[in-house]
Amino acid sequence: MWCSRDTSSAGFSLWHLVVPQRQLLTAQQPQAEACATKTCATGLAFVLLFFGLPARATTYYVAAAGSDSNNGTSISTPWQTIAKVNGATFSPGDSILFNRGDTWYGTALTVPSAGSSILLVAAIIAVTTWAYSARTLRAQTLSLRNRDFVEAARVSGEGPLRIILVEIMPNLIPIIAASFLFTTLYAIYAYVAIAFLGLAGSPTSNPPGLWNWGDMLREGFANNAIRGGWWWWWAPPGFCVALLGTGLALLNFGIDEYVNPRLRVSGLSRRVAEKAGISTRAILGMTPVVSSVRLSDREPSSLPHSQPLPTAVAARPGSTSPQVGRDGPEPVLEIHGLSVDYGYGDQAVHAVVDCDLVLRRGRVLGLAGESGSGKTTLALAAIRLLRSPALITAGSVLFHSKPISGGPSGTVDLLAADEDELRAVRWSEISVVLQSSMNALNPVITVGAQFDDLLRVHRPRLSGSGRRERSAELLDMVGINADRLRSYPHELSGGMRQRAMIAMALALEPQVMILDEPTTALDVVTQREILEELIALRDRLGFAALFITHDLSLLVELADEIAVMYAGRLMERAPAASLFKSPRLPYTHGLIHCFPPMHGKRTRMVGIPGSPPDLRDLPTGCAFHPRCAWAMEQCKHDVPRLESLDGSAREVACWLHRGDARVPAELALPDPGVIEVGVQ
Amino acid sequence: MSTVTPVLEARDLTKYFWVKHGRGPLARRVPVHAVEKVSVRLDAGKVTAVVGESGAGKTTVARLLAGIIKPDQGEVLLDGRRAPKGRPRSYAKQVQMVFQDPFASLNPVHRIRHHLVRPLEIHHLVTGNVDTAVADLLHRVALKPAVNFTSKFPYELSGGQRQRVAIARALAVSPRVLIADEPVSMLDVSIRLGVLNLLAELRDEERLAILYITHDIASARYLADTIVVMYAGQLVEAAPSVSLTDHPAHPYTQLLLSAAPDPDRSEPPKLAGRGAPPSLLALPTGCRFHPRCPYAMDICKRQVPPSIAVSSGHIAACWLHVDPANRQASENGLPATTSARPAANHAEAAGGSLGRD
Repeated sequence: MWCSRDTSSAGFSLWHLVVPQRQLLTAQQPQAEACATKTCATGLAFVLLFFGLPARATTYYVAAAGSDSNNGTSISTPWQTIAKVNGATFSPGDSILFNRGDTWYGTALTVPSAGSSILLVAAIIAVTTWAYSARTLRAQTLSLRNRDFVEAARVSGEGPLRIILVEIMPNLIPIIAASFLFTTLYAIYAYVAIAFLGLAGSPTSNPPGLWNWGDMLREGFANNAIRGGWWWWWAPPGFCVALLGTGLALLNFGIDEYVNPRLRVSGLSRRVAEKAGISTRAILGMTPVVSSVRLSDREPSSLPHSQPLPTAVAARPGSTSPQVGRDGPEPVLEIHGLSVDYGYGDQAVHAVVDCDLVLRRGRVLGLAGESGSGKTTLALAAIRLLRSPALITAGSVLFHSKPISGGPSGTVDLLAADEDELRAVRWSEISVVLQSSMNALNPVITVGAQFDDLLRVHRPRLSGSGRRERSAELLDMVGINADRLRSYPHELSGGMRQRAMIAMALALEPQVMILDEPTTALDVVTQREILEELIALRDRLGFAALFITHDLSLLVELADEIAVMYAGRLMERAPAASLFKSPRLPYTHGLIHCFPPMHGKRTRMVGIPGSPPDLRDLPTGCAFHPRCAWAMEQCKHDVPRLESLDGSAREVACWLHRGDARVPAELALPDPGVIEVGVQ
Repeated sequence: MSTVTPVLEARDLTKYFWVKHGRGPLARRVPVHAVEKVSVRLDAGKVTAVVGESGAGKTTVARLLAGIIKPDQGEVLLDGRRAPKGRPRSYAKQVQMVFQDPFASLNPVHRIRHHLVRPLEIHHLVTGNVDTAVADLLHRVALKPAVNFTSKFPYELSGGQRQRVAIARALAVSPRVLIADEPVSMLDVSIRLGVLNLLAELRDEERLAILYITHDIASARYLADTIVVMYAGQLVEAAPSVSLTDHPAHPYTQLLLSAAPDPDRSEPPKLAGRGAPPSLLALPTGCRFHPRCPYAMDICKRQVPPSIAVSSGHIAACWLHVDPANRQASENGLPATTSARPAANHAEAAGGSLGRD
């Protein structure tokens, strides 16, 4: 096959280091680039300092020390040695790379002229190290050649040579650079070690070799320098070797940071955060909360939003008994004014802005929106599962716990909770199933053992057979035969693995399940089966579910209430049937008309023009106005708030429904769901 | 049977992939029956959709038609002539493909201009100014103004824009056939229709023959003239799109339709069958769908069903549509009255094409 020939050689490596990767450099943000440049520059400075400059000096140093030792009178103080080196006619220009080939590092870069032994050493090092780089490069190439862009190039008629050179090679640069630097470092270490053993030819051999750090060490060793405590024999070469290694490693990091921008995020953002005066004590698995928010949320009455919703009032920690109010059963998870940023200060991206959501016991709340609308961020921020640089900047999340299996009930403020409180709530009371959950099963352990682990940790009183029974029962609940406990994850289909994850999420009888696109990666039939099972389980076990998906048509059949998000804000919230039959928001209206119908005559549909906005560069006013057919002047300037519509259960953030604006007929259809609210 | 020669036609394509089964020295190579005896025809100015679950062989059919892989049996006919061996540029000039994932199908290290210029250069299509040609291409896929896009890198564009660039790249050589492998499944809901409408315009205005591969039967109904349903590597039903979705004849098609989200449904959907598709390593005997089929009969377990014309242009491979006498006959070892023609040959596009009626 044409790609397996693509193994590396030193020539390749060099060529790629030399070719300026302008497109990779210009692509990055300026500050981040400066950061990578600094790392690169530091590394390069180290390398040059210990690579080129002192080569000649080393020769003088050792020559001076060596001649004395040959005379039998070893130098007693380092100062004498240094004085000799300084006194020698030393010019830096003499000893730059490639100069007269008189230094050992020529092994890695060029052919040295002095002594056949160096050539031999170079050959030995090359023979012993090529396989490593070749293997890494080959593996990477094999995965790249299966990528769609290679296939696309083939489809467009591109020849194999150009595919290798133009399509695949540029993607290999980070690996080529890394293995080049690693090989260099390895070669240096190897050469020093060989020289230390006296196998690399020395200044005293015939033909005379050159002094190098390995020789210095050997000379020192031979002269009892270590026992005599004459550190100036062995410390400088050791120091040089160590610093050169550091320099090469830094250079490598720098190149990595250029090529892969994600590596730079954490260091950069921490600095910006400090500048913005935010302390971000990073605790693994806990999204940091801006400290001012934490304090204010200790008192639920001082929630930082201007208009407390009626639902929020009903949901005070004091209300204990399960009462079905005007809006349905009592709330189990309340999110108020939640705002989440990615990054800090001026660079912050406001991924979620001032969102209110109330999840009621035993209900399914659908959260719909396109990618980048902040729906996952909102849900994961509520249980503080987002990783740095995510930062919760405002809001409160109240979890009204009333364990299904009995136990003390109470209210936990998740944003103010410490690690232990969060751990007590997560998974056992609020569990999460993600789209990629099916890949979260450990591939080398059987499914049964993974259930067993979970139950052993959280249900310590359960016996071994009790755990097995419970595991079998859980799998049975999601429609998997209990025999499958003995299977490894790879033996199950994607649908079955996702089911197993749902069973695991149900294992501790949680009160809330957060389902983030749990079926998006699955086939329609499997998706439908899993959804049916989920609803049946919800009816049986009584958990509440926050169901996140981009597929509004699916949500309509599934959810009791639907909230629609756009560009980080909640835009409309209504009972499912009402939202679908009589949307009030232009965006919802557009979304609904993005799904071609299954019946009737085929007509051309237009969908929503434009594309979802970039969160870093949001339009002013209502974020949807550039795509909205009914946008007014006001929409371009003022951000609409999510407000109740005519006192009904539905809320919408749209200027069309405020003041004396004329509501388009499409957005004023009669609401079919009004009567059904709260009855179920 | 249409008298017009299809632009691209697949006849009885069969493709096996060989995988190792077992470990160590006892490992043997077993075939994955990716595609078996699949026939599809693509006509100029028509969209043919291939619908099915993952693992049904949809993408393999696309890759076979695009010439990326070669069939083990069967043949691909371009204008009625056998497609040449290898993948010569003359074939690439006629048949182009758009991939599922616009994030993966554009090389991240090259600018948009590179992606559009290369096909032009390869096929020596640049007569005047290259930049004008690139701008024209971007205009055709509604990326305006073109100057904003040519010097960008793929990651600077949104998913929908990227997919449009991918389509523009495919259009650069003015192909006659466009194979679109799930072109919208990775895109946001609100921009899917835009891409589908773009494909519809290419069909109507440039008379492109389009193969639209999807798992979303609603979008197939919206865009396609003919829908072909695949199950476990075989064709099970082929019909004009409206006819297929309104009157599905094969139980598998009925299952797919019952599982698809449909907010207009008045009552909760009832799944017409359960379970998962079979492993392509160990296929059931007889009809491959029988373990999941709510109507499975004895004969389904033993004999492969023939392709039956249910109505004009509507083919289903199912014993339910064979009348009992014939069923009995084939039970007794006599040949069933199979329609000798490959299913898709019958499925002439009867449905009105979108945007023209």
